[in-house]
Amino acid sequence: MSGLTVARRLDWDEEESYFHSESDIKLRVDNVTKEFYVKGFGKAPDQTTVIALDGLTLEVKRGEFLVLLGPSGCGKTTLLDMFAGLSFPTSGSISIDGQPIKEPGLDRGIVFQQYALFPWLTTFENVEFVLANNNAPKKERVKKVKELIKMVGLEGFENHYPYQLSGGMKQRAAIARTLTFDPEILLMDEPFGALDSQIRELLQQELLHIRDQTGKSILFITHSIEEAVYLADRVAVLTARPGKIKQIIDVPISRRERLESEDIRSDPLFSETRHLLWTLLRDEMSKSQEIKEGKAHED
Amino acid sequence: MKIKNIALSILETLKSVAAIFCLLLLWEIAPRLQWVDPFFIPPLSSILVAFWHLILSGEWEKLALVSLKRVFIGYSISVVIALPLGFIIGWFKRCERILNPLLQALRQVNATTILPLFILMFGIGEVSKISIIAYSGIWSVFMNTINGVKNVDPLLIKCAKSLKLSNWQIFRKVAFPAALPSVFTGLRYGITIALLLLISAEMLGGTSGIGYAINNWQMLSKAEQMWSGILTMVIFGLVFNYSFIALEKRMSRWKEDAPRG
Repeated sequence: MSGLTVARRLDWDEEESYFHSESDIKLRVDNVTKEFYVKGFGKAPDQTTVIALDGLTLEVKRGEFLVLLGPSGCGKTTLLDMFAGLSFPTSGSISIDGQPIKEPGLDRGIVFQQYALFPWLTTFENVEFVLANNNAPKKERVKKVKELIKMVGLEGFENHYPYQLSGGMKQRAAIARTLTFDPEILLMDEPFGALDSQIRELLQQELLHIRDQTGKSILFITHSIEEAVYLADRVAVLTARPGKIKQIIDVPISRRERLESEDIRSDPLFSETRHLLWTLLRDEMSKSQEIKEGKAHED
Repeated sequence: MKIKNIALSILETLKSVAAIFCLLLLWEIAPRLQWVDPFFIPPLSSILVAFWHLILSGEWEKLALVSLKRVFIGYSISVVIALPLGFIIGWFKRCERILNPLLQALRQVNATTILPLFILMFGIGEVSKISIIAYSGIWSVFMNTINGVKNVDPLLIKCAKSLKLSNWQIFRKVAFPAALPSVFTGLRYGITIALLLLISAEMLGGTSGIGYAINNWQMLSKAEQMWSGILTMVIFGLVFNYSFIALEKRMSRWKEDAPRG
């Protein structure tokens, strides 16, 4: 396992090049379709096919922060499972650095909405989990775990069990656990979705700092427009089920501005982008609602 | 302030033992005032005196050791069988689905009802007693272990998979620790049931042990001694129960609310 590459600070002048060198694609989703077969029961015994994703194409560039924005039920979780290597596309392909994803791997770090900390382990043990599991040398791993716990601001809570932590602290611990094995890309599934708004904004800001310090590529799933604008270099808006890309928007706010501005959310560019995304998403929201209501009728 | 706190905590302790104390007091008074027939229920003090004599004469020790040995061996057998099987069956979902109906039916077979069968098969010696205790103890350990393993939060399994753990590692590092509290609950119920069956087995076909002695004293109309035997079993039950609760608590420190007796 390689050492932690903390403080690989992105050179601001290089930032432009990150988004224009086509050869530097970290994650590629190529025309992915995912169907589920649902066994019928009761009055409708026929097997039905549910199409969760329909021809989704997407690229995450190296060092990019890409946010997937979509209404609920657009197949976000399905997509994440495939990134994780836990399930596979019905057709199309997903690859990292040009290599198709065939199994789970530590080149991808997944952060779940519900934290997925092991409740019988303390904060320290949870963060240490992957390193301990791979028999990393004790001294080295203790150092790394301490470093990361400090980075996510959990010092003093090393010996707390998850039930003793707030939601925000749990997610910090989960993020630290993911950073221990230094994955090249972080896949985050509505990681702040269960947090109240103040903690949420704080963690968003900290995530930007962590990205700044580590230079990771990040694919971030959310249904909050505000969150998308605040975090993303680019936002990919998904359609309601079956999910595919509706449009991809470049957020016209630089990384430096986000980190340095007192209140970037009140910037006119911020509001404009938010409004643009809102109009894009509005139609999908109502469609998603119709799908749900249609289902309720069938039931 | 401090004195008030101490007084409060004493009051709390008093409250928690008040019910027991009242019962014991009633036990002493009722036979003396002839509210109940002292021939069946002698006053507590005379029972305790008889108990003390049983201990002094060494008779109590002999009886208790015989019984404890049976429970120990029988219960150990049930744990040795039920724990690994429970973990295996709980872990392999398909296995669990196929076996579950059978297990549900089998566990409904009250151990006492098949005690005669065991005596028929193994005679009235140690083997039948130990095997009935083992049989009775198996079920709760087994069922609770299966449930503990089966009900591991699927998100944790998913997370472990994404962290590239092998199946064996997931079992050892996720399913096993997650199941422990439930396993210990099963172990606790198991010992309680094993103690019950110990007495039944000794009463039905025994020539030694506390259960046999209780029966024997009853036939000899030695009420004080009989009650000493009953008290012995109450004490055993309490000791086992609370030791297991302590263990359970230790195993579930990470849970919000530790189980209570």
